[in-house]
Amino acid sequence: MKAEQPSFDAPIPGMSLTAELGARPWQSPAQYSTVDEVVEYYLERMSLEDFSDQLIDVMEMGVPITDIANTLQLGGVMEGVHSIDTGILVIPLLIEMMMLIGDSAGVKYDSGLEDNPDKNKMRKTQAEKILRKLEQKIDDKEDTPAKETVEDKTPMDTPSGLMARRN
Amino acid sequence: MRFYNPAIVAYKNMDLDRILPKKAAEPKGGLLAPRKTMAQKAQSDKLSPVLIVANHMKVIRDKRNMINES
Repeated sequence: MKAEQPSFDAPIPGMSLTAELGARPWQSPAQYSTVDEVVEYYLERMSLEDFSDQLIDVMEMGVPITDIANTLQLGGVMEGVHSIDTGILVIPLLIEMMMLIGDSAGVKYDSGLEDNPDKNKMRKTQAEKILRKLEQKIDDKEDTPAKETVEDKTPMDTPSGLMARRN
Repeated sequence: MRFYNPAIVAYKNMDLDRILPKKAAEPKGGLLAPRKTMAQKAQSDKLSPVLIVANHMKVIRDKRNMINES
């Protein structure tokens, strides 16, 4: 079995302590503290033409809208614009707004709300596995010599009843 | 592999039909009509964050439906 490769994407232990407390934007009070303010902030940003153009490009690439919304609000938290609580509360609105932008631009987008869109599709690896099994079966059949038909060689049973013809 | 995304859960929990209060019939404005008490007034002024978001969402969804229908 192949050994699992270690992931180097995770933060190093103690990484969060490499800056002074309060030096990071998310460690100081957020710029907007109410949902109303956060909603207004995002709606204003999303109504810009540059934003919608970039968003449409990303949607066309097939990135799910839910992923974009989550990234957007996490960016807001990182920049210290709002807290994570208000960010999570605002997410449904961001998704709805992005869907509106996509619909009005006539873009086919992936909402990301389906549980597993490829659930019913057969995975490539699964198909390969079945194909390999079938090939093996065919090979096995070809290798084994064909059994001689025994029936042809057995002599006919002579009838032994009372009414049987006697020679 | 897909990681956990809180956006999916947040969106699916936002059932507008359930969250948004249905509009009650407007009371007639006669002199003897019952008035709102101060407690009721304070409650209606202070909308919960979910209601604020739901109200905004309703407007956007109506607009989306209009676009998709046409």
